[in-house]
Amino acid sequence: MNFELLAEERVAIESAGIAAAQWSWQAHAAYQRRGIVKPEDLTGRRSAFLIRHAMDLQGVELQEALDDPKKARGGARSLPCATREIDRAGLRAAPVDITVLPAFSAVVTLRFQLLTPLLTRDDDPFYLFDNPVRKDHVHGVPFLAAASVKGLAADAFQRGFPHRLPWKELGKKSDDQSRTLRYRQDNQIAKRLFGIASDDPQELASEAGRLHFSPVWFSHVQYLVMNPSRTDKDGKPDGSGIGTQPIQFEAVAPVTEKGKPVQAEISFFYFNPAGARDSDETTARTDIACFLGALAAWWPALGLGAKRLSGYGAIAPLSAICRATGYADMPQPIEVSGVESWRRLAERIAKGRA
Amino acid sequence: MNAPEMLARLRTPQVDGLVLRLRTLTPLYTGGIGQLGDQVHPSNLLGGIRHLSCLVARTLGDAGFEGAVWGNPGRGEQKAKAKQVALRWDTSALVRVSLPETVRVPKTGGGESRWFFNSAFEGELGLQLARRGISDAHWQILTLALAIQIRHGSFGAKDQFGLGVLAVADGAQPFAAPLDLGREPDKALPATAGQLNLLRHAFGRLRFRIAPGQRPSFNRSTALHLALATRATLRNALRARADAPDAEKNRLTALRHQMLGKLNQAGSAVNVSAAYATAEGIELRLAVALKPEDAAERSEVMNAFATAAGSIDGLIDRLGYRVDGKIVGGKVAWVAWEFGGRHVKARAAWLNQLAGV
Repeated sequence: MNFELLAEERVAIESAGIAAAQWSWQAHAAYQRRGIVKPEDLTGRRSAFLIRHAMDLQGVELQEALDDPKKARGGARSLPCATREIDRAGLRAAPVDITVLPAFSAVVTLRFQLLTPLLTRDDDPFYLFDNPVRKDHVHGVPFLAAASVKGLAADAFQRGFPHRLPWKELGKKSDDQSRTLRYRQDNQIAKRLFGIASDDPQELASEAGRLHFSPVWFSHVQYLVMNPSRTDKDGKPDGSGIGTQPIQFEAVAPVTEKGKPVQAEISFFYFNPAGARDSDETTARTDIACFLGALAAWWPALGLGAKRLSGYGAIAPLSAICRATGYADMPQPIEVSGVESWRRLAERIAKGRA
Repeated sequence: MNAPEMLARLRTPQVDGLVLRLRTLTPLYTGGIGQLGDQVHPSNLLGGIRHLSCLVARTLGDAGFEGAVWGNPGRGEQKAKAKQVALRWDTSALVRVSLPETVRVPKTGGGESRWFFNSAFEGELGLQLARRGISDAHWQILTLALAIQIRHGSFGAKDQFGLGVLAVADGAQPFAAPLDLGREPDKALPATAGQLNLLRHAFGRLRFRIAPGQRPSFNRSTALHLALATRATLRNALRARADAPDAEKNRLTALRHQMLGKLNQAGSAVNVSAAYATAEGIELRLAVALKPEDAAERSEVMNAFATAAGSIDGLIDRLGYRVDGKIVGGKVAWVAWEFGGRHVKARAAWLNQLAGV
């Protein structure tokens, strides 16, 4: 779609069946990029797009704001995405039939509310903005990739159950890959959950983790602007106290276009390799409970996505559901609600009874 | 080890982190894509905390604090490094309020200055700091700086024009640990452009009393008006007399722009908060970064500001308030100043005092 909009004149596109009235805001963003040769020419196009699509203008007419962008005043508009198409495609909630899985496997779904905009970086050189949020290529629906979720989950687990040695002292080499390898070699739960990736199979065999992750789908996008302080040649603030060129960021919005809080869910699938070593009930319970406990403790504090340490991507737990097989105390799914739901589910699974 | 025993060993961010409940004394504003102030933007709040914590670290001679705590994006030959502390803001209890669209303050030479506002937030908000790889020494500096910012500074944008004063909501429990007075810290880092320390800063309080025979109402408009009248007075204090030589006029114009700001040239080095109510009465706070490299000019600025406050009354007559001065050494002291330059030899004690620990 983006390439088509970049290549053709608007008249030609519309004559092929995409009427202007049906263009999504994303189609407009892609079309606005057309014909740009120099980066500085993007500034005006970006301003026009933001005024038309990303702001609820207040006290100023659209044309007046387009003629003089400095007059543009208004709140950030939350732009809806084609989530219905994702639902129809069955991508949002990938079905896992727990009954056919080996005993002590489980599917856990964690629901949360997004409190602040969430940033995820996409690589799209033909987009109007330099910092687009990551979206699926067909429908343009924003998501947090499953690989990112795994990384965030592993980070939370390492913080929740730290190694006896400081992180920087782990590993033969001073890089995070080497430290992660050492951590998972020494922590059997982490090794089972996340696996081991070895570059040298002669010395150490790679091992798949038991956890399987899904992407997290979101429904709305908004735009942010950040204006870094002017710096000197060493990259330090020059003392003038004024900003540089504002940078626009596309972000997952924490509220809908009607002002309602955005909710989303993350699903994990724990595959217990029945008959293999460490596949008994106690081990599986410990794995799942510790994993959930670590997420409950650290994700609400650290958030999700990029710039999370600055406060973006902050979340609040809403509910947790566990569907499991082979556990006598969990013949039916367990559902817990509330801000403490993730922690309470972890404790419930650990104890093994209601 | 069984599952409950393992889970009991879980380390949580609350163990050694910090959770604070704050409330706004003046509305909080952090800008946005359309400058309306319809959302609270975490990066804006982080920038202020980072700035003040680096000032405190430089006051203590700690050159490595900024890189070690706040990381860097890996520009040039620098290796990218993540922040070693995570901030989480809970803004769900904040309420969006409309600010007076325009605040007008008369100019001394006729006419009026105008300041424009949109909307901002009032109420309670939560701040959680989670430690990642930050050392105990740097954590102490960070929490001390946060305490100083809450007691004497401000948060967010438009804080030079009154917005963003916060207070601890849940009692006055000190959350920062005092610096060890028995060990004199390293020499303060040299203060250069963009790398100031708190020894080149002054913090002040200005009190207001109700003018005789008046019964004024105290609202957001009055609170901002008192601030902007104070700001205008400080700006006027750095103007040359009409009969001064051109060279003197030019020098003071440059100094005024350096201290109070000039569009696209210099940011303001003076923050004047909106007025707010305390148990002792109506007050506002001042935070001044003394940017001039010349010590004589720094003294000139402080002297001018100290004496100018008495002339605010002319700009706030119609509001029904007067500046509340105190007699100190036979003279009227309008502002209670805390000036860093007086504490070069006892920096740790002064920082503890600023932080209230």
